[in-house]
Amino acid sequence: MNSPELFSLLAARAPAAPLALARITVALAALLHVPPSWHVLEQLVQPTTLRLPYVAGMLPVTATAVPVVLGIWLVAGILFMLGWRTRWTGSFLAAILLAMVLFDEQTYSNHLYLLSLVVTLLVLANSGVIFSLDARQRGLEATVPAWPVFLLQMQLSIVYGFAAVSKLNGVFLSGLVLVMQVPPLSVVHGLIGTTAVALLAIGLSILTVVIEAMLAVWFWSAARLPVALALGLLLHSGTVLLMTPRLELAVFSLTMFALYLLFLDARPASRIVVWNDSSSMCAVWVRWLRRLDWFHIPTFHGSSNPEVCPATGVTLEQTDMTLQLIEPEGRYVGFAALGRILELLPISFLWAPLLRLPGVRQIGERLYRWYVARRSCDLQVPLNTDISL
Amino acid sequence: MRNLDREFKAGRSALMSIAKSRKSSKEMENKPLQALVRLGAQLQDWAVTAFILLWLTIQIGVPLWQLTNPRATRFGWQMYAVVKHPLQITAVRRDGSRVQLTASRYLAYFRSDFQPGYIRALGTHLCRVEPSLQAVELLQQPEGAFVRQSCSIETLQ
Repeated sequence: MNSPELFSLLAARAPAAPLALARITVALAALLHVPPSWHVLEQLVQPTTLRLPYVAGMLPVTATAVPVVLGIWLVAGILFMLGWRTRWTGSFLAAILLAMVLFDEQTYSNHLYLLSLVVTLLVLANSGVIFSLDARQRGLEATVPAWPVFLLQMQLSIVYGFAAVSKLNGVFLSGLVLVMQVPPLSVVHGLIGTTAVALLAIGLSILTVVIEAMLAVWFWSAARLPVALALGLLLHSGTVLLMTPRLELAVFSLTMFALYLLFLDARPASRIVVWNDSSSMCAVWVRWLRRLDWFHIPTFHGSSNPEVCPATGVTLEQTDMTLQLIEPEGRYVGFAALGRILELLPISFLWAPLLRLPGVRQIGERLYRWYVARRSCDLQVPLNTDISL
Repeated sequence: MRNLDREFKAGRSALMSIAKSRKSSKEMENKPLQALVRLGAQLQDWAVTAFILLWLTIQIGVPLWQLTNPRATRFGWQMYAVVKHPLQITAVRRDGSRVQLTASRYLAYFRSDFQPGYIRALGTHLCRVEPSLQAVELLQQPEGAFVRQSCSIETLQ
């Protein structure tokens, strides 16, 4: 039976590997939030502390319940990260996080709320099918339903979008929030004067709104994705380094970085890398790139394979000179190819777009040409190069 | 002489019609099962579609609605949208002396998005936990919300 267009999202599948890595990152974020939540709960159960339940007469948190709640949180978080009975442990974790959000007005926080939503969607997406103990027992799967992944991606846009819109008020745009929340601005005040600090704060406030609005939209564009990643890294690094509470902001940043992974075009074997396999130094690079390529996005082919050049349209001379990356959108060579490969690897996808910056790119290309000129070609290192293209 | 050819053809057509009727009866048995499976898949699709629409409606609708309320509110992703001014608490003792109290001793975590009634609730709470007080004055900037709570017997009850 042909599915109607309306249900095309329901039938679609998404790569499982980025989702699994997102699961591990989000679980880590949830675990990092245990200490500050412990502190809040311990304060809340003190007799001198005011209780602010959402609904009058709601069951209060008791001193004996605090270690139970935190214990479940810790255990569920660790097991969810390891991917053991992922759907169950994720459900427990999501329930605990949501309960924490709703216990009392004082236990609410935006990043806890976001964590509970993201964990819920990760459970629905069956994020334990790979990189997990469940996968070791039951066998791994390469794809997951696409509709929860779509909802996770939408959550990123919703958070950034409303964060930007809510800051469109006189108080924020006047710079007052940043002056009060960013201590270094107060330090700078002694150096450059009140007017300059005010102008700087206003400028940074406007920039913050613009960046958040861009991030809400640009992640959906393949062409703008590298810029979005770099801006996101800049925004969240800035908040963690310059603002408090630092740990909670780090938790929020980790959660958002986990969602960034879902926007990568992580189709396995969707790119081809052709490299000079007569060079031992190139072999070392390729060996490391393969080790870090957890999503198996590019396939690596040595130029000595006679089928490679005709199939890819790359000449032997070109491969001898520089690394070649062929993808559906086009071809990258040399330093640009290396940068593009790094943009596809989980450990470098966040910062690798910075290699495209003017200045950085020129320096990188110069270093690459110097490296190519100096590499040794007299030692052949046997490497299991892929043959089928 | 018997017409064997005619008998053969008649027998063959009889066999074929028996085979057809058996096949169609098997198909008849499978069709309800297939229909059930198709119905189950359709219901699942509709359920997932309904969930997606409900999820997006809540995730977009609630923050939109919160934008119509004064900042900051919760469940609206209004992180650092406004300044979090500290709450000033002045306690008036029974001897008339005034002392500043720190909110962190009586609140687990101070947030700028508490519901407006929290100031009065805090005043009542302070009277209850600090019996030596005659009154409590609470000032919340920037809106300048001021509450003076008298710690009478009625307040403690």
